[in-house]
Amino acid sequence: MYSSYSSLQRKQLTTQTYTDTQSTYLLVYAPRRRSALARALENQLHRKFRLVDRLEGELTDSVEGVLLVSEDVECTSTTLTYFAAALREGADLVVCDAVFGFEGSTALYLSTQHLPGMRCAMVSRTLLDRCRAEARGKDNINELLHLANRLAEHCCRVPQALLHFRRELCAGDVFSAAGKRAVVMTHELTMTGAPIVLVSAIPVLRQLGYEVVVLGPSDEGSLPLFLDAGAAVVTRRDCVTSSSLWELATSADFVLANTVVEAPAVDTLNGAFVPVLWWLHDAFAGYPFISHKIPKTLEDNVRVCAVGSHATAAMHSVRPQFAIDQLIYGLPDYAQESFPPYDLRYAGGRPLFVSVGSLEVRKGPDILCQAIRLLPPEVREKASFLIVGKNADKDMMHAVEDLVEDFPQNVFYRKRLERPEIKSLMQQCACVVCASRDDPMPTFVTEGLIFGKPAIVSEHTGTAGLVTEGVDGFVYREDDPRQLARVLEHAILHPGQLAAMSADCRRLYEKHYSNQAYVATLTRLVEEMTQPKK
Amino acid sequence: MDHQVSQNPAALCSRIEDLEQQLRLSDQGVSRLAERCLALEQQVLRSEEKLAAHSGCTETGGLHLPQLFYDTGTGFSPRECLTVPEEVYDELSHEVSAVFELPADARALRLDPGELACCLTGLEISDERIRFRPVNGTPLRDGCLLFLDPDPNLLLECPTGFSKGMKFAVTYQYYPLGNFLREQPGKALLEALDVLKKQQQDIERVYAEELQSLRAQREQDRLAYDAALESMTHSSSWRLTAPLRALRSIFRGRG
Repeated sequence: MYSSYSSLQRKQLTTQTYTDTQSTYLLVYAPRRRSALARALENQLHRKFRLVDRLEGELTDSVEGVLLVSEDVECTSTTLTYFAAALREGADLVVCDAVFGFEGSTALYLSTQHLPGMRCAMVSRTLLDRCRAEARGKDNINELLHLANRLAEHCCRVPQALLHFRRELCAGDVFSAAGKRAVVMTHELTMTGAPIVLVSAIPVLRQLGYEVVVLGPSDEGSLPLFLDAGAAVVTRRDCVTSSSLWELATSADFVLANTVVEAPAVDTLNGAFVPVLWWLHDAFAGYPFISHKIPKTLEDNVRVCAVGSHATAAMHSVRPQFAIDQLIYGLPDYAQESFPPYDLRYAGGRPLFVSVGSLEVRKGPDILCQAIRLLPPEVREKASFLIVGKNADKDMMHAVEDLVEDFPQNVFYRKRLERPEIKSLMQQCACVVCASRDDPMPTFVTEGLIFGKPAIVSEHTGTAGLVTEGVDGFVYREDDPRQLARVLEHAILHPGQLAAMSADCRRLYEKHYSNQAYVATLTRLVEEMTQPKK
Repeated sequence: MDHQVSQNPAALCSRIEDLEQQLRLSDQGVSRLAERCLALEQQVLRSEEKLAAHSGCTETGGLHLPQLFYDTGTGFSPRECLTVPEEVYDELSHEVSAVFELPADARALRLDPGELACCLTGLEISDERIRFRPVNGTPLRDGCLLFLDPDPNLLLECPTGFSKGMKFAVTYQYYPLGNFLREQPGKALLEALDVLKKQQQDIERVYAEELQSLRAQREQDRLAYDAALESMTHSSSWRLTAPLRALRSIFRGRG
């Protein structure tokens, strides 16, 4: 029995807890092929049920719920227990996640906001009676499932892969027959920048009327965010390198491929009839291992966009001929939120220059440290500097530690600040500094702009492409600490100018980084790509 | 158990209560058993997981995975070898996709795609400067490489050398021949390949011998020509006519 479980099912089963549902009487209505189902039901922990191939005459008064099964499927021993427990808690329609394929290596996670193509669902007796009353056919299983989806008032999703379909997943499992279809492809579902930013595209696509399915490798933290945003998620370990699931994309009306890592998928879809928006977030460092997979030319159905000039330049370094639009992700307007003030008395009340980011070579903390050292002592004493970020490189950490040790009065280091603390910090600081050597779009700089704080940024950041020198920020060149020191000195000696830049900084945020700007740009791009050409 | 149904309503109600009580007790019993079953099932799964992890460490886990040997000056050795996690190989699609970063300057690199005789297809290296050359494999058509040796390996070459921190991705499809070579069709295939190899060697030998004889013949001709030339330049007539040749060259130079 256990040997037929997929690895996901095994993992989930070991942490499941038992619920006593034995007094709930259920029917399992499976009018079609059902040999695998019948075998799996022999091992159910919930024992009060009957497997039937018709409802007429079987649906006695004491039946509290019916599991509608439209095709043969295997299930874990806890399936009926979970379904019965959900019925007891007041659900009238209960669905669950599933695995597909012989080994069960493809997993489907459903979102209650998007339940197309149900093959198996538990319905309460009340809902079933309503469905039967509305049905035109005589207990047609597909019609009952369709009506249950439409008429349900309290839908519940069991976040467990209780079902195992031995066949491969197909478009009918994740999309409804008539809806507009969007497939979003991501190479990771972690809590890192690119996947988190991608979540913000889901509501926009849904607003445009799309049913959204996200295709990624495995849940590493951000999968629930996509489900909450209303997308179904399909995972398969090799989804980036293997084409086995890419046909989902060919059945869609729109495809969003996230980051350059999706190059093999884009290459396959290049020239197909489905519009593909390829959204690049990657720094130069991301290209050496994938550049050979990037198509040499792009057909009309593929459009490339990037989160700023730096991500654009990174792609142009290997494919200079590509036309690239700008799609900069939006950040919520934190300035409208309330959050507790972060106590900055330790900074001595001097104008505070802030840098946030992990201490690694790419982020350039050594350049900032060197620049602070190069400041004339009398200038350095007029400001405070706060560096926030976890240790990701021994040498970079030493550079920061040495600086803090040498200037304990006005240079400070914090490994981590909580989100409300960061917001308060941005509200209180005088200026943010980003010394990155290779950074498509540093988020903390944008957060500073929300509060009208000017930034000093390296030319190798995405922000540099949007800043107007001296109006809403400053740019220094060539990763040169001396140049950065000169800009810092100017900023420290002209606090009035920094304060006067506030309105322009805020305007920069509203124009390029606000949620409204992002939604408008993404909507325009999608509409341009999907509207029929005249 | 009394199966006779009483006609008295009070007795009937009592009987119903009794049956309901029995049903509840039965449900409770089933529930306890089910709970115990789940606990046992979970125990079995955990044990199987541990067993699988253990056998993964000791058995064939690493046989399908690539290794990159880097020679820093002491030759290729297991001490200077980069390994990859198990996830880089997909058994279903045969896809291997691994990223290597050199921890030190290396004078040579060797890629072992696995530890089994195998067939490789679609081998690509992200850094276009790096070329590969199979050491004990045979290139077939369409970029396919056949390794009948159980230690397949390729040498990597780069005109700019291999410096510390160099990072590149290697992708290919890996089809291990495994037990196939020990079974009848595999043996037949190997024998056929051996025959082909011998035929190839015979042809090569014939050509080599022919080439050798042609070379020897040419060498003899050259020696004979040299001897004839030398005897001519040392002859009396050649020496007597030397002033004439000198004059002719002067006139030609002026002309």
